[in-house]
Parts: sequence; C-alpha cells; structure tokens
Amino acid sequence: MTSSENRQPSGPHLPIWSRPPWSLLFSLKVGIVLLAVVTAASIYGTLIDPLERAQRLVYYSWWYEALLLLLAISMGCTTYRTLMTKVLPARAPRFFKQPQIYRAMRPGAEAVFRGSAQDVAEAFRRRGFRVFLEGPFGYARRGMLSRWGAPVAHTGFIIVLLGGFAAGFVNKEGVVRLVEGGRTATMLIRPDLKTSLDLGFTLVCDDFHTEFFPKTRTPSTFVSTVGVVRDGRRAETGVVEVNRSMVVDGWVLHQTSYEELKQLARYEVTVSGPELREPAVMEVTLGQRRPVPGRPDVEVELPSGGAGRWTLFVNGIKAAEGVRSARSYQFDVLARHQDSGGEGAPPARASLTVGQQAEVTVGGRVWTVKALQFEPDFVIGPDRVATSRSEDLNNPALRVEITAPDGAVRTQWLFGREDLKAAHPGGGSVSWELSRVTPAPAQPPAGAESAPDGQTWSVQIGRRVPAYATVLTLTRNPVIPYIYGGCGVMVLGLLMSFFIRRREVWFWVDEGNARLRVVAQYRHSATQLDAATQAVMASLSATPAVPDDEKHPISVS
Amino acid sequence: MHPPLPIGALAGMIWRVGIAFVLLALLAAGVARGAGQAGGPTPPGAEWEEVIKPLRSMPVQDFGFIRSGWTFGENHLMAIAGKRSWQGRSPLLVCLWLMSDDAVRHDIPLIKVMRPELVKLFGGSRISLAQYHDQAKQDQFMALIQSDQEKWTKPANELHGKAMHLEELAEDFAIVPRSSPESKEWLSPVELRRALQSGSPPELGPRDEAILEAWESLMKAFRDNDRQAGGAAAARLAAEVEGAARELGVDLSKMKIDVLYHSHHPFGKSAVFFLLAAVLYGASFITMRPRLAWGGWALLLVGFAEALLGVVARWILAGRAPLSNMYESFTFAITGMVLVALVFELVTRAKVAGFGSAVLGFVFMVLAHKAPIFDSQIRPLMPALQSSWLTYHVVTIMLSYSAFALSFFVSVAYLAKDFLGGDRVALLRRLPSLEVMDVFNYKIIAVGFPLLTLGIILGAVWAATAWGRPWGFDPKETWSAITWLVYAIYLHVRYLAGWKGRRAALMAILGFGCVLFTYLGVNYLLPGLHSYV
Repeated sequence: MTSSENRQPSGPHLPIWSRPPWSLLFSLKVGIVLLAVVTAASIYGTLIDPLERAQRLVYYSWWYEALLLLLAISMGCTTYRTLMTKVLPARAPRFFKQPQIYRAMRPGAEAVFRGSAQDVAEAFRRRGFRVFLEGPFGYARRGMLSRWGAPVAHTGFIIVLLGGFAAGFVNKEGVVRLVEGGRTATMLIRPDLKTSLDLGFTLVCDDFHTEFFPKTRTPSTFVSTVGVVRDGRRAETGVVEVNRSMVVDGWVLHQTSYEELKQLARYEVTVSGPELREPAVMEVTLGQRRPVPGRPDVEVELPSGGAGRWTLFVNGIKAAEGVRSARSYQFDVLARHQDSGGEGAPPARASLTVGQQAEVTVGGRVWTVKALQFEPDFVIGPDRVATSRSEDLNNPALRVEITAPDGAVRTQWLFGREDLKAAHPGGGSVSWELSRVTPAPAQPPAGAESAPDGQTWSVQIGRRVPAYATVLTLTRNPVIPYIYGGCGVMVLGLLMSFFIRRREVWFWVDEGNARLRVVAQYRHSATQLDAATQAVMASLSATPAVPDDEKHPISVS
Repeated sequence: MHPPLPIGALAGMIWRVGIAFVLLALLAAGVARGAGQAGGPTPPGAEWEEVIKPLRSMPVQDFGFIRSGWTFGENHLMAIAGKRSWQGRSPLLVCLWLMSDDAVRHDIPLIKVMRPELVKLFGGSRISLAQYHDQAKQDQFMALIQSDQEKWTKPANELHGKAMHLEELAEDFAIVPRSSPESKEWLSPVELRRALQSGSPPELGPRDEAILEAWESLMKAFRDNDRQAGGAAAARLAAEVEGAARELGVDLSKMKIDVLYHSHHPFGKSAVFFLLAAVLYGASFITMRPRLAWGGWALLLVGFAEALLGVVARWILAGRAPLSNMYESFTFAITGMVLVALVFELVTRAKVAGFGSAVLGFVFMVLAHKAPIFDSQIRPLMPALQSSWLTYHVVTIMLSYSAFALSFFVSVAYLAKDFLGGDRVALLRRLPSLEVMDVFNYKIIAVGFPLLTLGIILGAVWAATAWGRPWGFDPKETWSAITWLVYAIYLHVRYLAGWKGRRAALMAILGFGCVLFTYLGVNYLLPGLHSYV
C-alpha cells in the first residue's frame, strides 16, 4: 500500500464540524491527535512531584483514564475501518490488463520470452509467490500477511489499554510490614497506605535475613520465610525473596524492601548443647523467643528490658537462664602542653571510663576531662553521626569534654590509632591523646547452665546487629494475563508489519512480441524490482530485452 | 536558488581553527595537570613499577568483588583523586606507597575537591587529609552544611567519602582470604595485625602469618626505598595470597582478564578507532574516494571489536551481563549502535550509517569516560537487578536506542543537506540523495520501534515479578512510554498523513531527544526506581 493509497478518502469530503460526532472516532487524524494529547498529558504528569501526587492528579485521575479509553475506542474504530476498506478487499486478486500500465508503472521491466503465462506462474510459485492467472495476465504476491500487521498490532494495543483501564477497578495492591515473629491478618492498601484490608488469613514472619556484599552496605539478598495461618492452624510455609514470589489464595506476595529498625535491639547469640555438632549462631531481638537452628525444640529468649538477660527453653519449659557478660573499657588520656614539644615535662595522665571525669595538671594549671562516648570501631555513618562498625577495637575513639582552667568547655574526639592521632591533635595550648584502651577483664562465659534433664547448654550473647522488618507487597491483579496477551499480540503485529516484505507483481505475457512485461508494487516506493522477481525473469529469459520505455532503464541480469 | 557555498574554504578554515583549538586544549590540560599535581610528597621512582609487578594480578576483595591489585589501585585512586595515575606512576604503586607511610598519606594533596565554595574553604582543588581534618576548616565546613543542608549534604558526603577512602586505604586492602559460615569478608593485613594484638585474636589460616610478614616487609621496603627487599616481599606476598585464594576456590584466571581490561582500556581504544573511522569517512566524502570509506568501515569494525572486547571482559569479570548501571548500559548501547551501523552499511551500502555511528560512537564514548555521572567501576548487583530479565530488558532497550541514535544522525544529515542546498552543492552531492536518506531513516526506526516496544514490555513483566505491578508510572517508565508514543506518532503521520522528508526528519530528531531525556535526563532531574540505570 502506498501513502497515496492511504490518503484516499473513504467517504465524501465534509468539514469536520458538519460530520456526526461519532464519525470522528473513525478518523485517523483524530486518532493521531489523541496520541499526541496522551503524550502531552504524560509529560505533564512527570513534572509533578512526588510520584503519588502525579498518580492522583494525572495517571489515576478520571480524565486521564477517560483519555486512554477514548484512544482505545478511536483505535478500535480506525482499525475496523482499515480492515473493511483496505485489508479484506485486498485479499481478492487484482489484474492489470491495460498495456499502458506496464509502460507507465514503476518499477517494471521486460524481457524476451517465448513461453506461456503458465510458465511464468510456475516460476513465481517456485519462488514462494501465490499466483493468479487470467489469460496472458498474471498476478503474483508474497508476504500479504504484512497487511494484517497494523490491525493486529493495534488490536494488541487496544487490549493493553482496556486491560490497564480494567485494572484500575479490579486490581488490589497493599503492603505488609512484619518483624520476625510478627503476624498480621490485614494489609495497608496503596496508594495512600491508610486503609486496611482483611486478607482472610494470617501471615506470620518466621524469619527474615539480609546479607551484604563483603565490605559494602549493598544488600546481596533479603529473604523472608513466611507462614500462613488459617483457623488457628498453620496451613503453609514459604520463602519470598526479590524476583521470587509466593501465591496465597490468589494474592501474590513480593519481597519488595525492608526497613532497618534502629529502636529495636538485636544480638548475635551462640548456642552450644547436645545434638548440635557445632555451636548454632542465631540472631535474636530483645523481647523475642526464637528456636535454635538444628534444635527446633529448644528456644532462646532475650526478655525485653532484661539488661542482657537470656532464657533457654526446652520443649517450652524454662531450662536455664543467665546474664550477658558486659565488656567495659578503661581509657588512659594524655595531656601535653604544646610549647613543651617533645623535650619538656612528661605528659599528664588521666585514667577514666565513660561517664567519669578526672583532673589533670598541665603547665601548673588544672584541666578537667570527662569521657562522654566511646566507639571501639569508629566510623562516620551515612547520616554523618559517629558510630561503631563493630565491637572490635579496630578504630577506638573517645569523645571527651575538656574544661580549661578559665572555664571554657569544648568537646573533641580522641583517636587511639597512631595514624589518626597526628591528624586530630585538637586545638588550644594543650594537646590531648588517647594513649591506651584497656578492655575490662573478660567475664566468664555466661550461660554454662544445666537443664532439668541434665543436659548442659551454653548461651553467649555476642555483638549487637541491626534489626530489620520485612516489607512485603501483596497484589491481586486478574487482568494481568490479558495485558500480557495484548502485549504479545502487539509485538506480533509489529513484526508482521515491519519484517514481512510484501510484494505484489503483475505480469503480461505478450506472445505476439515474444515479451514478458512485469510491474510491481511494494510497501515503500522502490526504484527497481525485488531480487526474487528479477531472479524469476532471469530464469525465464537468458537474453534481456531493451526496455521500450526509456523511463525504466531496468534490465534483468 | 541557493548560491553555491564556498565549502572548500569553509572546511579549510574549520580545519585550522580545530587544530588551534586542540593545541590550546592540550596546552591548558598540561598546565592544569602540572598545577594539579604540584607540591606534596614525591612518589617512588618508576623502577618500583617492576618491583610490584607480581601484585598487579594478586586477588583483592574490594566493593564486594574479588579483583586484581591493579583494579584495586585504579578504583581507589579514581575514587580519591579522580585520576588513573599520579605523577606518572601506576595507581597500584601510588596506593601501596600511600599505605606504607602514614605521614605521606596525610600530607599528600590528593583529594579532589569539586565545588568552588569548598575549594575556597579548604584552600585548593586538591587537598591533603591534614587540610581536610584541620579543626578550623571542619568547623567552617559544618557551618556551611548547616546553612543549606539540601544543597550541601551530597557534596559534603562526597568529599567526606574521598577523605575516608584515603584514610582507610590500608584497611580496605583486603588480601587475607577468609571464608567461614559467619563471614566471607577478607581482612587487610592492617586489620589482621590489629586483631592479633587485641584481646581476642582470630583463628589464623595456614598462610595468614606468611601474608602478614610479607606485607610488613613490603611496607618497610617502601619506607626504606629498598627495591631489592621490596621485590622479594612483593613476590612472596603475591604467591601467598594467590595460594590462599586458590585454596578457597577463587578463579585466578579472572585476575589476568581484570588486569588486561584495566590496563588495555578497550573502550578508550574503541573511541580512538571511531575517531579515525570518522576521519576516513569524512575524507571519503570530500575526496570522492570510496576506498577511504571502506577504510573507515574497517576501522569502525576494529573499534567495534575493541568495544565488544570491553563488554565481554566486563561480563566475565562481573559474572553477569554488563548492564547494571549507566556506564555499562551506555557503552553497551554504543557497541550496539556501531553493530547496527556496520550491518546496515553492509546491506544497504549507505555510508552515512557508518559515518554517523563513528562520529556518535566517538562522542558518546568520550562522554562515558569523562562525564562525572558515569561510574566505570564494576559493582555488585542489588537484589532487584539479580534477574535474567535485566539482560533481556536492557539489551532490547539499548539496541532500540542504538537504532534511534543512527536515525538521529541520518535526520541531521538529511536536514543539513536539505537546508544547505541539496544536490546543487557539489560536496553535498556526495551524501546519499534526500529520498534515500528519508527511506533509510524510516527503515532504522522500523527496526528500533519494535525493539523499544518489546523492551518496554519485558521491563513491565520484570517489574511485575519484582514489585508486583507491571506499570507504576515511575518517571523512567512514563518517559519510555512517551518516547514510544513519539515514535508511534512518527510512524503514523508518515504512513497515513504522508509526512516525509523534512518533517519526518524533525520528528525523528524529536524522538531521539525523548530517548536522551529518558536515558539521561530522568535519572538526574526526576526521582524514581530506575536511578541506577
């Protein structure tokens, strides 16, 4: 089909205002205008911040959805019109019987030929063409499926648009946020997350853990193990992780994110005991009771507000309890008068622990130093707050409050690492230095207790670890299969439209002059015949004739 | 009638001005380079490069990956100084030297300061740790941040990150392999030494003490400038670390690829070949010698091979398709664009495709390596990206963008020829005819449009898998739909309303503008889920 063919009016030319309104839906130009309007509205939406506001004002608004619906209807009407006026009529063969057409139409060619139209038809058939004959005139075509490409693609797009429109009414989406051991029977509905919806079952978070790439804060994975409880009984258990969902009663559970809960204290706990080949390492949040890996009948609880206490249960019966061995530090702080350099009097020394203060005499004057905060593995966190990367003494730093003899007060960090001492000397006439950090004598491991059955269990509470809550998104969208189907149809249509080469060839065997005359029509204007047609002509005539029309200097070789 | 343009004189003038500009730029760059690196401690002599050679392919755990020592050096020097070398020394040598001497590390003006206000505050565009930690300057720095937190938080964190990088360089050099159920974090020798001195020393691996001893010998050799001892220590260190890594099952063959990739710079080399190809294509148009165009095609092919080498090397090193950030997807798109052009030129014989992709390939490749928005480091994938959908979605989208980039160039060539007088101008007659370029443009878009459609659909399916909804009107999603709509309008107005030639070319340029905004603009101007690509 050529563009001129497309521009042929299907009805009488009437001004737009004098046509009935419904006829506008069949107008291709109106369809293009609608596409442009949808584009402009979408651009407007991206300028609105935040996204939730843009969704409310534009994308999920009645007028935007009406616009999409109108576009779908317009496309449906124009597709119907194209089918009726162009695609279906083109199925019937057309013949060109006027000799002048074979001279005027391009691309075209002629060759010396002494055979019959049947011979030509056979040659075209061998090249995959479908051929129709009427006397000496023939019509060969190939790739006519491409005519269906545009209607099919448009149908697919209409299905997608209608699917999206329907999804706005039937889709349900909400969020559930659970800490380990937490449970819920409702979810908060998007987009406002203020309304809750009853799920019809209870969701329990049995376990949630995150892993990070070594030496980074980039999570490598986060996985939830969730249980489903119906009528008070556990019905099923499953694992949900990113890109791996779980389906419960038509709801699809997605692991979308997690939240760090800074207010929750969570510790690494190591448990040793019978039937455990090696100590089991687990994480327990304060106030939580968790089963020991490898011994589901044994549980460890860290009572909330228990000041480092733990309790061990065997088969639900309290079997042992103990207190965490707390580690404390003592600090030696040196104060040196700046003018004395390395040659003068020895530095003054103060020994103190966090919360304590001490007086030191430097240069005959009394200074006061108070230990405010200690970080064993100092680091500036992402929020620019000093914190500790671990409980190991990798980068000890002590924040002190220094009161000068004249009453001036300032605070500063003192670093224990040699390479950092020089970088943080502090200001003023006296320089301060964290000389030594001494761990308090280690407490005997807590928890060497005997259970009532005589078995010995050991529980050690280790470093504090971050506590997280899993965030699951639950969706129920029954129209998604239809939308995917529409997408598939659309892609199929585009492939048919753009990648199937449509070729229509008309030939006339002029037996009187021993000539074969051929003209062709393609989707796009072309200056010469396609390779298949040229090959057909070459196979039929070894000696090409000189074209009788100088406008078509096409020869077959 | 358009008067014939004095194209020859014009070209000559442009050529001379261009040469002068390049010379001036080189001179300015040299002056800036000299000024930027003046002052501070001097790195060890170039002879040390040979001494540390065994450490180049030694495995180091860094940013979640096992990399070569060379890459560690390059990544960290880039992160601190924004440079791949310092005073002519390789990045690994510079890093080792900095690790060996605390005083040097604190006094060297290495930290790159970007904002003029911060340059003024700290007293230079390159500052030392000592300057950064100066209490008075820190007080002013904090006051500046407090004055406008929204404006200064990001630059402050960037500068702080660079300082921390330099300060903790030795801590980050994790070469003592570890693999236990609790942690797979390798230790740096500094961390190991500190742990051994603490109250609770770790359980040592069979090679740990040997690694520690070799490392400390190497550091001492640096401080004493003793190359002989340094060479022996480096060889011993590399052998011990590689042995320990091999025992843990680390694939050491990747280290060689890593060194090759980072020392060969295939993407940088491809840019050079693209430039040479563009020159030959241009010369072919001017001199009417088709052989020159074939030479351009051949150079373009070599450039493509280099770029492909880069893509494949990154794929092997990362263990995944290299499509997870802007740099990776951009270099992939450039490679795809050149491939599309090579094939198109082979099939259609239209030289404009090769010329266009050579020019755009050079410009885009330089942009990918010079613009600060692109991070060339291989980084681990966040969980949402750990999906095979990533490969399908991004490959399809990037191939469509490649096609649209070519269409953009052809459209520009079309309009240039059209506005400058078309075939009436001798030089422009050497371009394909307007009709050929118009059809060619349409054909490229006819390839790009279905690819874009498929790419958007694959992205929607992936979004439904990861987040539970195929479409959420995230700005990137919406702009990809806008791009799709613009090209859909192009196809419809061309096919139905007969928009061809000049108007079609303008529509194609508008479409590519949308592509650029979707790809680059959205990430930096509009927030959303796609901020990583």
